[in-house]
Amino acid sequence: MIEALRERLEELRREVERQLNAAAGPADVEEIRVRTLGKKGALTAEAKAIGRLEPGARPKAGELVNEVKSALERAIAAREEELAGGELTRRLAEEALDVTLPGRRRGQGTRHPLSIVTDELLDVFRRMGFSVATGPEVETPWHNFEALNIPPGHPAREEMDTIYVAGMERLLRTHTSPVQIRVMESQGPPVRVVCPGRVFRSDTPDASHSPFFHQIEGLWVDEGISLGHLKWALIEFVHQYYGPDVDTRFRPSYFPFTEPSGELDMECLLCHGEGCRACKGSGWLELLGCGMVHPAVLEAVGYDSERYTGFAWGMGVERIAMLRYGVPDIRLFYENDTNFLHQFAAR
Amino acid sequence: MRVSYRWLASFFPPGSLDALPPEELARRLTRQGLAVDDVRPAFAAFTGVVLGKVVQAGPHPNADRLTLCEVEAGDGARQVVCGAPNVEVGALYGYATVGSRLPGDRQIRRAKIRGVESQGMLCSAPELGLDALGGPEGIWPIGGASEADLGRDLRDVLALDDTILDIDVTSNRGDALSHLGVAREVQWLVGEELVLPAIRLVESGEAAASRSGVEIEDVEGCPRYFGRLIDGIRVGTSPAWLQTRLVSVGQRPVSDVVDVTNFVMLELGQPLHPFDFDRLAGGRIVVRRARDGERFVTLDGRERTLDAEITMICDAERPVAVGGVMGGLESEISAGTRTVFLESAHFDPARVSRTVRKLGLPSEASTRFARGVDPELPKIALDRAAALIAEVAGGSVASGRVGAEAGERVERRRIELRLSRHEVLVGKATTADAARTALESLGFGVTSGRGDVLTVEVPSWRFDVSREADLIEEVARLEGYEAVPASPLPAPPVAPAREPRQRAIARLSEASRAAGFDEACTPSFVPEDVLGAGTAIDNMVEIRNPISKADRFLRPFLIPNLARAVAYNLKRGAPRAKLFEIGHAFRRLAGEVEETERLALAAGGARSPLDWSEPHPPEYDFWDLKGDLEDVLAAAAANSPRFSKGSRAWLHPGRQAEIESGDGTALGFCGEVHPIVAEAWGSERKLYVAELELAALAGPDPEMRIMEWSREPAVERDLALVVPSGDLAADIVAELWRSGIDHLKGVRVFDRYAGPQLPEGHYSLGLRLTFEADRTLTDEEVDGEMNRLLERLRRERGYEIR
Repeated sequence: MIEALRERLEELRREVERQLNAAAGPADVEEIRVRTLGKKGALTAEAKAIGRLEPGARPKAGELVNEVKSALERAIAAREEELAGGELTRRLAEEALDVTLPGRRRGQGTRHPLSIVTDELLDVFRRMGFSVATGPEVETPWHNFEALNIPPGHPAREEMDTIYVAGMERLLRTHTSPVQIRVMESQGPPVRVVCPGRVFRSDTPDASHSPFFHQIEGLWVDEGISLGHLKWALIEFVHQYYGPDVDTRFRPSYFPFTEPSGELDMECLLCHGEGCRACKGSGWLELLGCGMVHPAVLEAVGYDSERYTGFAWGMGVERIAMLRYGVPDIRLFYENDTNFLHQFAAR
Repeated sequence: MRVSYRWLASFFPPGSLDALPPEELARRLTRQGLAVDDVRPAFAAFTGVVLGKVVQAGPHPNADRLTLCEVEAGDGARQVVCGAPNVEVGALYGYATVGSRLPGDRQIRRAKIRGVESQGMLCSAPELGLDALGGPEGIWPIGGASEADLGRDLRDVLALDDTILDIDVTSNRGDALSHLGVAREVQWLVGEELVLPAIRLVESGEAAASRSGVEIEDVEGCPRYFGRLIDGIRVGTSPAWLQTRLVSVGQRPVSDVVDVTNFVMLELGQPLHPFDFDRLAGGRIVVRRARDGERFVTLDGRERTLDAEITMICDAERPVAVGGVMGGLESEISAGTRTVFLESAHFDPARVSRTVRKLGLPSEASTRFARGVDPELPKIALDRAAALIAEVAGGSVASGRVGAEAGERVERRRIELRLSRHEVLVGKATTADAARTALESLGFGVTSGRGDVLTVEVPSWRFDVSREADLIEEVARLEGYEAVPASPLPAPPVAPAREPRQRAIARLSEASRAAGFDEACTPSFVPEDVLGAGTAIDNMVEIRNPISKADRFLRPFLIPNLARAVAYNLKRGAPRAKLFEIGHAFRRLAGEVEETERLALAAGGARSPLDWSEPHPPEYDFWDLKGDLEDVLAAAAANSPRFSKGSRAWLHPGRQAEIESGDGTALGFCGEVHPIVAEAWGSERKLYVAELELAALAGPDPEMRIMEWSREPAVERDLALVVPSGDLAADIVAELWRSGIDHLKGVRVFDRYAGPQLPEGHYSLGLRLTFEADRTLTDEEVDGEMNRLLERLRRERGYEIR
């Protein structure tokens, strides 16, 4: 009798395993499980039948049934996992993408090249000990001219091509130098500032002129400051910004608010001194104007011009940006064509 | 200022400049402060052209228009066929011999012209690259050349092998606007004394003073005025040497008399003016201020209105020239002029400068007077020019000068130069000897040099030197800036941090870019009709001298130009454009200019960048703008900004908002641009704009402390309220917060619906409420709070649940 049971169970096990092998998906396996192990399943029926056996045979019969039950449970679970895994693989395969299609960009904005260059320059000067100061674009003649040793009728005043406000004694600053005056009027020495900002000239726009453009101006006033300090600071700036091997030339010039005055030329970045169109064949590019602050300027703001000396310089941001990025026409900066602006995404 | 190298060399003993060829001279002058922008040959290259004389001329046997010439060039006559109509027997010409090469790579060969052999060519001025010279047509007679030079290379005869240095003279150095002025700078380089041009003045006949006189009423505007009479003039063409010299430095020859005045101006720096003496009523000159409103026709044929600040040169009856600026048409030198009254005067720089500005009349003369001409020069230049006129135009100079001056000698400034001060300012010591040598080479007098202090006398032509610092520059630049050692700055040990304001601006810029806006840079100017729709903007700041009509006002805010840039990009085909700008805006306020810094945003086109998965993205709209703006405001720590309905005429009347901060500070405004204005700005598509006041946003870094939050699960309840159309969402949300129910942590709008299912004049607002506590809230608790809330909303506002 036990033998008959053993054979039936063995038969059932083989049948179930055969069915499991034939199962196509997790649903089939579930059906097999219900048919075999469910409340009305074949193995469940065998288990229930144990109670009807004579008491002496029951333990052995129970042992046999449990053995097969756990074997089938394992087989079912294994097959279930096997089939489910295949389904996932299939699903993942179906979900495959063409990764070469473009991503969904949110379109981050870019910085304007003039801001980029301004920030780079300010960064160099900050590291050298200068702080940033700014001031108004509409100025008084005093701040823009008189305090800077440019009295009415001065030739430099005529050359500035000033734009004036109608109906009042105001003008659009022709340089960022009035910020120096404002800083010195508001504090005593020492003064170490760089002043970025927009300036204005009555120029008709063309490839190299604009009625408004941007400057950065610097001022360092303290006891014992000399032309030698000026020279060091500006050459150091060139080396920091353009590289340590870039050659410079420092030559005398004229500005009403500095004395002595000078201009700093730098080796042409395009031809490295050979002479090309950018440098008009000279091998040099005019980079900035500079000089020792004129004693009359220090006196205009109430500084003791015997005790304090200082240097100042100014340079055009557009010019530097044009050279740095190969911009052929100054008007491109103000046209704001996104084809132009978007090229500065990596800056 | 164009400077001829040969002309410059003529101020020094022969050979002095040999060690300084033009390129080297240019380098040295540049290092000294006279920046040489360009060095180039004065004239085009040619070879094989000699001075030739036409000894015989006759008709060509086979051609009516050709002339058969016999040309003598020192070694026997040669036959030359000439096509020009102006061949003159006995005249001297440039003779291009067989084998010569002319400008434009033209080679002259032996040729048969209409069957007759021609050995070379007689040249016109343009054929020699001298376009500015010669008559209107034909070959160029070399006036003033000597037959002794027949056969000599024309380049030598006319001194054409010359180099031009183009010097960028700074505005303080009026004295360097002449060859003499530049020669003074070269003096330091060659170490030789200057040789001034010899003046071979022969006076004859009746004294000028018997026929003429000068009276100066406007002593301030014209402290000295001299004149000479040159009689028996026959106005003609200048000799070739004079013409070529003028042409080499960019002056066009006019007539011999005028050419001489230009020559002397370029040589010595003194502008001169020749009058036709017979046209001067009474033969007298009166220098006076113009009368307000007086009118005068200048040489350029234009009538000018004058004022009392202008110095006029008058004869006994009427004005004949604007002093130091320009002559008049009526007294101009003409072919019929027989007697010249030559003026050499000194005019006040500031007055001339003002006159030039007032009349818009710059000239070679006024440029020099405005910068300052050596007040001791008029007499010297007058004599030099009178002698030259007599020489080239064949007249005779009447005895004596007429004229007047305020003070015989100009007082020279004396300045003390401390060597110790030089060392402080330059950072390099100099010696008394070195400073003295440098200054003296420029014409300064060093009267005493004891110890530390030199007493220096400034020459009359150096208007720019008035203080010790000016002298220090003179010494420093001659010794060379390259000799100044670079000294590291005594910088603070720690570099300064970014200023709070700069940090705030960087944050705003970054937030704007993160929201997809590109930084733009637009003009500060706008036209009067800035909105393009006839709607004026009040209190705009007007420009007195605008560059164009479109630039007549300063921008009252940044939006117009920024929105135009967006429109420009959309029109050009960009699918979307979002721009921002940080800049200044201007308004008139109580007679002053109020200048504020702003951040403006402008956007239009598609909401998102082109994307294959969403080929037709929706257009950017008000909610995109408001969302972007809220992101930017959050970065400026302007949290919970309040938006209220705005009323600007140039924005969409129902789609605009004023923005203020939580504490009520005005921050700015935003909205959709009114379609009429958008069209005027060049956009057919909708434009969205916002402008914020930087002052309210770019303060110091705000203090912050983090807030605690619950880690217990939050409970959410959705609520759809039916409310009257006039009730604003923000007020309803505020009402919820005011209701005082417990544990409410968040209210978000998730839906807005208006439709036929709702009572007339109502809409439904979907709100998601979040409840949180430091323990798990039960459904019953939250339901209780919700019931309290609904009860209150019903009671206080009459709202129903949908």
